[in-house]
Amino acid sequence: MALLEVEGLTRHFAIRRPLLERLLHRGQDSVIKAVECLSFSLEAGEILGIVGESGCGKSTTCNLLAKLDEPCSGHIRFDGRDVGELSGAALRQFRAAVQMIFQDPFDSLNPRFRVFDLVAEAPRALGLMGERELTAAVHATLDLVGLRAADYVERYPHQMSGGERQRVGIASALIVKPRLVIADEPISMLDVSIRASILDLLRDLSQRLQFSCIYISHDLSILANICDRVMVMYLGQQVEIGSPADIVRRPQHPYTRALVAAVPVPDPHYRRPPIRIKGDLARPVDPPPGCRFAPRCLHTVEACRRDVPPARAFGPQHLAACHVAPIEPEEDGRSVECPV
Amino acid sequence: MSVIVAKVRRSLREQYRIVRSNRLSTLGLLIIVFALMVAAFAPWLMPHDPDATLRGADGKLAVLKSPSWEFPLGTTQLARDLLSQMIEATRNTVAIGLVSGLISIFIGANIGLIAGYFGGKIDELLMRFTDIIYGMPFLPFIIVLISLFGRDIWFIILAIVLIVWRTSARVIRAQTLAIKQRQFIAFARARGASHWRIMYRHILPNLLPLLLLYTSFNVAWAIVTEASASFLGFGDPGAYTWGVILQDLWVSGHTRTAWWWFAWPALAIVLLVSALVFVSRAYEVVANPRLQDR
Amino acid sequence: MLQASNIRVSYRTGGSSVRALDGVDLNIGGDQVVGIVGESGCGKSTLVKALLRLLPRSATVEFDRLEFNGRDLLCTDERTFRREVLWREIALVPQSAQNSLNPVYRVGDQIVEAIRAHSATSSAKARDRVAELFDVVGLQAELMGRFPHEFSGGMRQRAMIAMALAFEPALIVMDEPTTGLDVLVQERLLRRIREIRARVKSSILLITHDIAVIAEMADRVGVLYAGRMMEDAPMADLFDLPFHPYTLGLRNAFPSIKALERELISIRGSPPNLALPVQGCGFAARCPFVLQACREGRPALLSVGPEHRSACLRHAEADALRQQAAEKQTWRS
Repeated sequence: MALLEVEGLTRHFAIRRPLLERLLHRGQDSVIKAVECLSFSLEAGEILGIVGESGCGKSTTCNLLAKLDEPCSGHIRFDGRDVGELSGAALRQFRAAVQMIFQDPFDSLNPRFRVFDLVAEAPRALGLMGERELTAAVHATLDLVGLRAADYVERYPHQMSGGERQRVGIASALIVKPRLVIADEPISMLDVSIRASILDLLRDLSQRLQFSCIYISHDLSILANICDRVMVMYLGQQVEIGSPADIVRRPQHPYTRALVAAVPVPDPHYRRPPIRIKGDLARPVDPPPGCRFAPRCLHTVEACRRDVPPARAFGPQHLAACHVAPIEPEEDGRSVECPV
Repeated sequence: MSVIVAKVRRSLREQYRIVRSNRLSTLGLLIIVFALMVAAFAPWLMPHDPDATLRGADGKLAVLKSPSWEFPLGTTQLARDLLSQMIEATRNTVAIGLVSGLISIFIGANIGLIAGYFGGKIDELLMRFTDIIYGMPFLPFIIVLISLFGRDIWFIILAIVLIVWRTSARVIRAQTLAIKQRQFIAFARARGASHWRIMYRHILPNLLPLLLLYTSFNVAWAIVTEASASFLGFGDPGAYTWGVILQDLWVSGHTRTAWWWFAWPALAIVLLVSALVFVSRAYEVVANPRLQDR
Repeated sequence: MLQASNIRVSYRTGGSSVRALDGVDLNIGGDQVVGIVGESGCGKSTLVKALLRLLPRSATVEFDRLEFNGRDLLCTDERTFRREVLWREIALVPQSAQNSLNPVYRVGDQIVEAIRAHSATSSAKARDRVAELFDVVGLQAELMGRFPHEFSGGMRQRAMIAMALAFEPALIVMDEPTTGLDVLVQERLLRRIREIRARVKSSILLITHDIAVIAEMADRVGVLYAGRMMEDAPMADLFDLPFHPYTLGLRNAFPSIKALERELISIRGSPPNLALPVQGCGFAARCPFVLQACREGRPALLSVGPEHRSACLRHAEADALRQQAAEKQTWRS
């Protein structure tokens, strides 16, 4: 059975206009459709990547999965239980079982907390351990993430490097033995030379401690490197999901194709394929019906502007939500000068 | 227990370091410590009963004596010793300042923290209430309160507290709004911390420099306010404060002749209030690091 | 065109002094894109600021030589530099250029003002010039009347480039131009910069931490680490035949969708504290190939190929090092 099952997950935010503006323009309140009808599942021990540009709904999805925000509709089933109905002890258990790791190692650690208190926060907040047990757990967890506990417990965040802070962040998530870790761009603010060590650590620990991971990033090349599967989102809609090889080598959705083609490659001999996309990235405010990518797509048919495309299978694990795919290579090969 | 003691000690050492980092605030600290000592040991320091009618060495009533060896700060028209009055007044003024300063920062910090953290309707309600308090002119307010309940020191403290908390509430709210956006608050939420835990364990320590800054502002404000109210005759007649001494002088009609009667309380007010402001300047730098470069 | 040698910059903070740049040379030819790549704290932003005289007073800046188009900039005083060189000859697209526009003025007006502040141009002429510049960077002229918040991040970035192009400077310095942009926007911006280069013959000094951006744009690259130049080569050479272990490590650490199976390898440790004097090679503490000699004397930047220089004592063994560097085991211990 899957550890996590998400079905039709939707989150909208209403933007209330100021009273005066409403009176003058008689305008309706707008709706940001941050996440629309997301469905996927996650196996125990699996690492799923979510990729997309700003406003694609990655962070909202994170918050929904960690139950820091409530969906407007849809269900999240964790370990077979509907997360929306959890309360009391079951909710506390869930809070321990799902942990987050944050992007900014300089802002995500309270500057007035010492490492010990940072790592001890989850068990303390959830009332899980006695002080003696806690001390042992903090030391063990710090060792686990490669920090010598005795050297670090007394330190404040400003006394550590970015990499060390991010390890403390990871320790503070792992101390409660979570079964799902949601990592929101955990390395994007670290120096290139140490990024791989944090990725290694996450991957290694997820195998040893048997936790699943949802890894959120805007950088497809990192996701392709550590994930078992990658999901592509565009303006709140799930566009494509598949193995890294599916996404990078056999992308079906026109947006995935553009995204893959645009990924920077550290090779001066690399010849970038043409990027077929038009217009600018919008915000998911009062989006039109149908596929959200339709206004920028060069392959639209009538159905794209009318119906949300259903996810269709293109391989064993490979799903893409496009009315038009598969796009014939020759059709795709037509030369289109895209407005820059 | 020892952990808490160590924490308090560390925090005190940090506060000491902050205040010592600036020459003016070090001076301020000295003045404040002096005032606190005088207040603490007042009963042993007073050479005379401040209400006693005194005679000089010549056996005559010591009416309006200028400072001398016998009466270092001089005497009043009723032949009372000004030094003793000043010592007693220091004790009362410091007590009024501290009590109303602390209570007002307690109220202001909580209202600001709750409004800023929860936002929405709660924020709207609390901030509109604060706005109403902002609309209240202080002197008419205290006059009405005292004519309703009488000239008692506790009503004066109450009146000061009711007015002074408003500024700290606004400032703490603004700072809470800023801190709420920081990622370490999302971190705390994700680790399962409750709202109260986030507010008082995660946000409050980060407000500390600001809280100390406004505590010291509030105490200064309370002292000035008490002095003005007492000078206008709304002080507690049973307790000397610097304002009450000035009021006695005014009523006696010797303002132009007895310079000493005027000088000591006025000097005391100016010194203690500016000492508090000097100390708060050191915290201003900590609370707002951009000032450091100036 | 630009020749700067032995740039040294130190900052005084509290009691200690931090050597942000320690003897860096920089040469930029005409019609060339020179990239400087390095991690946070390596001194790349300091380099930009030192060249443009934008450092705070607490910094001490020394050059052995600084010439630009045959003009000795060391003998140029502050006022002349600001009036005749900055903007007109060397323009800057600052870091976080997206936030460098004043939110209360229209974008077009801000550029018009900038032009008129640096030259005696009539308002109408300046306006025409801005329209031209907008066309060059691919913004419609109507957008001149809009406010910065009505622009997307990529559009603001392009507006800043338009401003930098105003006097057709010989050199444009771009400090982290793509940081914070989405992938598709970044790709478009880089494409646009290449197109601009085809029309305006300016050289570009590109500062970034992103090797992929450098790989795509630069003709020459300098690898900066701990305030020193580690390696300096034509782009293709640096990529195909790197000499310095730090360059080898960076290449290992950077992911690529063209090599999904390749395992990423990080470099252990962290950069040295520049407040303490760095003896020997700045990378020695993290280098898997370190020798005793590396810790004692600072390796000189030596020529290892045509226009290719590397500051490593073991440059003669580069072939063997390259092979070992590909193994994850090498970087562990």
